[in-house]
Amino acid sequence: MKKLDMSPTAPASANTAKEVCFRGCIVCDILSYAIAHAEKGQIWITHHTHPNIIAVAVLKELAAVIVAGGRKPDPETIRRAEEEEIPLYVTSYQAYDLAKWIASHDKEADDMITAAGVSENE
Amino acid sequence: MSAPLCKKEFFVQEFDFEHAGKAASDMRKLLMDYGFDQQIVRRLAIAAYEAEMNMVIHGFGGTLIMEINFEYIELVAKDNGPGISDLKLAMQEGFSTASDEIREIGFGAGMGLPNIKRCVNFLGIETKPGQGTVVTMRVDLGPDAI
Ligand SMILES: Nc1ncnc2c1ncn2[C@@H]1O[C@H](COP(=O)(O)OP(=O)(O)OP(=O)(O)O)[C@@H](O)[C@H]1O
Ligand SMILES: [Mg+2]
Repeated sequence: MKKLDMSPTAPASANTAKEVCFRGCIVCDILSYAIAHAEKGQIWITHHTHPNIIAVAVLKELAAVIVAGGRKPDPETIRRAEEEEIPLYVTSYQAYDLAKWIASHDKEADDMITAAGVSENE
Repeated sequence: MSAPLCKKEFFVQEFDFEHAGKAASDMRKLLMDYGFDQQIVRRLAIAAYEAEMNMVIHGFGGTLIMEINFEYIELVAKDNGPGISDLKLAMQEGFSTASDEIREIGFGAGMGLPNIKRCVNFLGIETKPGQGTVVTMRVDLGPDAI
């Protein structure tokens, strides 16, 4: 499990954590591809802004969703993220630069409690 | 066959992307509240979501029905849409008739039915062009399912 300071992103709502515990990333914009290949505890980087990204994040028990490239999630997407307790972030970074940033800034996490409730033994 | 222990219906609106996924999500919450095994709930939720999205996008909307039985949980996605003319082709990963508009919002990769197939123990599709589609999915409940 890794830990990440989310400072190159902005939380989509006020009470979203500034740090995320996660286990790897997936970058994709095809929803059924994410359903097939995302793994529990990953951060998902996408360009979609509609509420279905939260539905997929819930199904796959993802650690967080980051909307890249300066796009703005729909108000309904933000509302759904709050309701489902999925940490949602926005960033002006392009997906590749964001993934690079994540890869070079994540830290080993000592605790295993995350927003997605991921535990090491699963 | 004996009567189901529990039966729930969820309605699905055509092209309503604001509420799309709600039937699968409500069903998932219900199964979690009942205390079913997490892995079983995960598989059913994915199958339900893909079947729901297919009714939203391709099937003119429809109904998702969940039945809990002793040995398995069954999901039936039923619509009165255009039906599927070549089922073998539709089952192939990558085949999709989705419009460009639908692809732009991330659907239409032709992966939904293959995703369902991977998640369930039984998948049966009854369809005729012009007469709608009924997708029946079952996930077996082992001895530790609840
Ligand atoms: N309920 C339905 N009614 C009519 N046609 C359907 C229905 N479900 C699936 N199909 C047909 O089968 C094809 C394949 O479905 P599948 O779910 O695998 O992919 P998709 O929905 O096109 O894309 P994705 O699921 O990856 O977003 C669809 O493009 C459509 O032509
Ligand atoms: Mg589909």
